Amino acid sequence: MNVFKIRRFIIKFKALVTSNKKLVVFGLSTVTVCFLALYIHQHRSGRTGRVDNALTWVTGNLQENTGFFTQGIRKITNTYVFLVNAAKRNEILETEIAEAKQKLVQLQEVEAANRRLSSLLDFKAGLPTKTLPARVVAYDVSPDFLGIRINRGSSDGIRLGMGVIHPGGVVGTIHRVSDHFSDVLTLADPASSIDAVIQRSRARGIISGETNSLNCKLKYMDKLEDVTQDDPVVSTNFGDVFPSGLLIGHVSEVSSTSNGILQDITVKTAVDLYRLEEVLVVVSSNQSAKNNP
Amino acid sequence: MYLQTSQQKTIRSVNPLIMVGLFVGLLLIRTTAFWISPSLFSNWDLLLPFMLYFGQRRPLFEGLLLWFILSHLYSLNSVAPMGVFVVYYLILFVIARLISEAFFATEGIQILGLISVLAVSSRFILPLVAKGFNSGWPIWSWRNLHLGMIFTNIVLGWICYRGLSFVDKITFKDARQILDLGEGLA
Repeated sequence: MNVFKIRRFIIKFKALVTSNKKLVVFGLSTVTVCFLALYIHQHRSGRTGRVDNALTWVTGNLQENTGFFTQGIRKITNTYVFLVNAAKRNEILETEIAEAKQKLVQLQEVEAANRRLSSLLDFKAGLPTKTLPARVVAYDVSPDFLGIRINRGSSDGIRLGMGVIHPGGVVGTIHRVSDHFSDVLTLADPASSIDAVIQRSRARGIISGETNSLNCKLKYMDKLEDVTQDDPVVSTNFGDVFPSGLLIGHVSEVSSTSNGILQDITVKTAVDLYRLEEVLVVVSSNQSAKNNP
Repeated sequence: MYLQTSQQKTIRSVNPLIMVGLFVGLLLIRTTAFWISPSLFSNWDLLLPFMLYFGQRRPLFEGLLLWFILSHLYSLNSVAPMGVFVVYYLILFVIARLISEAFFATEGIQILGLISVLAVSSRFILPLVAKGFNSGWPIWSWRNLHLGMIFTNIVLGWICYRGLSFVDKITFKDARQILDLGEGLA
């Protein structure tokens, strides 16, 4: 009976839709616009809700494990496949060489990871701030935005706006937090803005990214300020986000803007943002570390 | 292989799930296997061909549902403000849908032309949408006409479009225009 009613309703609904196509399109557009407004309003804070948390958890874990898988494939393609091609002459010797090479590569990989982690540890020990190590699990899906995902979230004490650094220099700030993963807005993203100074002349500006580029712009720099090519640009403690004096990059180009009051400064980032594996999140600033040891 | 109508119907009903699964698979490759070719991957707009395909070949309700699911998943994997990609891909979906009213791409060259037009115009639509979220860059900038990015999206978009139409073929999914024509005849 119920099934019959439902079917009758569907038939009536279909008839209504086909006879009033304009009304349906208008209704759908109105619902879509209202829905979009609600959607954007709901996501304004940067903190993810339950559904988003679950989705991020699923994709994040998949990305974390896919990372291991793809790295494995990378090792195989870089070593084993080439060795198979090279050693057609002697199959036994080739197997032995492949195994030895594989072991060597594995050892080299362990050694490189060891070196990287100990430099991270040395760097961490030398910092006046409290930091939390994190692994980069994924890169931004969009070609126009430069973000990375790390395997630490609000359950590890990560909060919005915290600084993210690397022994090579500044990486960016925490942009979105879910329970177990966080998204980092890197300094080369167009939406990023980080307080910075020219180390030599102490001239101050704002570092912001450019689209389709790994370079940054040092904005709002007066024409009278002393800036030359290859000048190191470092972070400031403004806003207690980063420790002061951390390398951001080097000035690669200086020119005057057409309006004549500001300089157009391009900065090459110190960190290779496409090759990051581990980073440190600045969980407590200099000041709060002093207050809460 | 011959299948009964009921079996074909069952396979057809899982088509949207296959589309979502395919997208998630490509998303994982795009976000984790960056080392394959950073220059290629940093230029690839993954969801563009999906939106064109859904705009051209899906009924409105199904297309809108797929648009929302995929663009929300995409947004969760980017640092762009939430809403930028949902609006951006809705615009692309609507454009593809409007184009389909006049022009239904079925041949290889037609698909290539459609993707080329959308790949170029999307370079101006995205900064326009992003500006609305205070996160943009100049709309009329030469940087938007990044040739590598446009070329990558045309080539990969074409491959992806053909892949999606292959998925439709093996899941017995009829294209929207064929359905519309069928209804008209009936």
